[in-house]
Amino acid sequence: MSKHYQVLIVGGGTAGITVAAQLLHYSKHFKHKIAIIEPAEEHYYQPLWTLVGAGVSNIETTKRSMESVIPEGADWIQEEVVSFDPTNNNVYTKEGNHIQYDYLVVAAGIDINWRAIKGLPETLGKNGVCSNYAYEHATYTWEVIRNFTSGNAIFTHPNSPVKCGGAPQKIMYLAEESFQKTGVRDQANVLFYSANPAIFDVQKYRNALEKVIDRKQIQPHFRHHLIEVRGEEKVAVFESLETGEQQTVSFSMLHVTPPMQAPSFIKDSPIADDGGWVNVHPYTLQHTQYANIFGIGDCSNLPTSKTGAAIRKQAPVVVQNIISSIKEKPLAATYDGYSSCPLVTGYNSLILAEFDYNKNPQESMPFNQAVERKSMYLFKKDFLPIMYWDGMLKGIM
Amino acid sequence: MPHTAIHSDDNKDLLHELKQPEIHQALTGIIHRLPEIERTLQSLEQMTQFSMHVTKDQTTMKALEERLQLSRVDEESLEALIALLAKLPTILEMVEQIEKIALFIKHVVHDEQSMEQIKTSIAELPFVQQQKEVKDFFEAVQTRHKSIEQHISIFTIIKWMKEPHVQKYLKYMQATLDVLKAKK
Repeated sequence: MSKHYQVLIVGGGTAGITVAAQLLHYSKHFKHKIAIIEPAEEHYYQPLWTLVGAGVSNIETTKRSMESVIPEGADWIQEEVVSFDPTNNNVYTKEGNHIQYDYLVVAAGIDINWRAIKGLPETLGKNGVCSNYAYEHATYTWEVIRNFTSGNAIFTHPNSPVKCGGAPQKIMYLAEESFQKTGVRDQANVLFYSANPAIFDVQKYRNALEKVIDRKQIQPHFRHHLIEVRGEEKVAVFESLETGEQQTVSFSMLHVTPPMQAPSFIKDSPIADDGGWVNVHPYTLQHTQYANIFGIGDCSNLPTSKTGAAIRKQAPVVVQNIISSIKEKPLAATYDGYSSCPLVTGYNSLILAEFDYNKNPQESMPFNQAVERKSMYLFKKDFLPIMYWDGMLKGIM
Repeated sequence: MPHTAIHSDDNKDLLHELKQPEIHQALTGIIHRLPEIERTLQSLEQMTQFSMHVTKDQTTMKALEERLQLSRVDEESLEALIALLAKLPTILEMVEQIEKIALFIKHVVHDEQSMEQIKTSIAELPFVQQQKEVKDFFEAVQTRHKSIEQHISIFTIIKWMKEPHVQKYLKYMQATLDVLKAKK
């Protein structure tokens, strides 16, 4: 079966839904001329999983049916993309169909590779091994934290791009505070094993977070990544990225941020760069080779942090540039690499990091955002989810 | 004669053109539409005649002129209109922002899950919690007050003095008196 759409969007995540909603908000002309290809039944608000893992948010509030978030006027093709034929403007699906397009928006997100860590899939969700990076495992994180009594509490950051680069450390700060509240902090060693060379890329926020680490007496181990978990033995194996030396560490709690990669159907396609990501211009988000293809969000090779906040700034650029292309005008909208990370540093405190391609702070609030604030914590916990469901996914924010 | 020869050539060209299928087709189309064209021409003629009659009718023209003079549209209005036109892009931007805010509020109000979330969040706010605590405290005091039947004697008051809370407030009073004394 073959169909044709003026704008075809691959992916019904944050980026795909936002772009569709913004196009439809721009003009009724796009009604039923846009289709979103997405096989999943559910849509998740993942930024809240950190707070689910910390026991202060309900996992159920982070999930809605895909049908409820597909914008009115966009067609939902519930199929799985397997390949692209950009020369003939075709996308092929696992179900054996192909869909033709005038413009293609690739918003397929990022794949989690649990299997990249030996022994992890077998032990995840038991033996004190948890992860906030999956809907089905986030609640177990809280179970592990509240039942923690003593030993090593280890938190990891992998040697790959990740979605929401702040999440691996946010849960660590919350866990540390929870240990204090339950009176077990003195019996706990909080360890952070990160493949990164420092706690944060942007100097201003790095300075603030280094103070948080000192205050909370967290032991950082930079340039190390997790390579194996022996769940039954409660042992984690780390490798130094500089010397290759391996280190075995016992744990009572292990929070894993898994390695991530570009979706395989993109990686093996003509639209990918050498790293497997959609090869787009960093400012216009237009594909470097195919003018009628745009890439957005986690699956693109944009050199910035992969966050929902980044997508909020990328979506209007993609939308405006598609409209310019249709009108046969030059692409005028540009993206400056903006990304944001609400770094939860405890129950009731947050540093709101906002920055651009050059790692320069690009703050929206009229105060110093490197200071830990309760107001910003409440902003993340209570306002951002509403802004997401009723603003961003409706194409108006 | 050369003149006739030229005419003859022109006619030949004309005939050649007329033999072209697209020309032939166009002419046939025009002939078919002649009644419709005639009706349009008649309407145009009627409109022209009507306009001429109106302009010649002094009474109508005078009334129209008076109405225009009474109108509040003047040179200043036209200048304002031009200025407004220049500001339209900015106004559009503002209207779009207002529209977005209005739409956001509409979506939130119609979103049961978000409304539920807002209610929960408000209930968890520190000052709401404090207000609730104060309200609960006074309600408890009120209930207890009604249930106390014993007579309050001087001995009961002496017994109160041993209460840590009473001691705490008495100490504050003592401290205040000491500070005041020292200031004198």
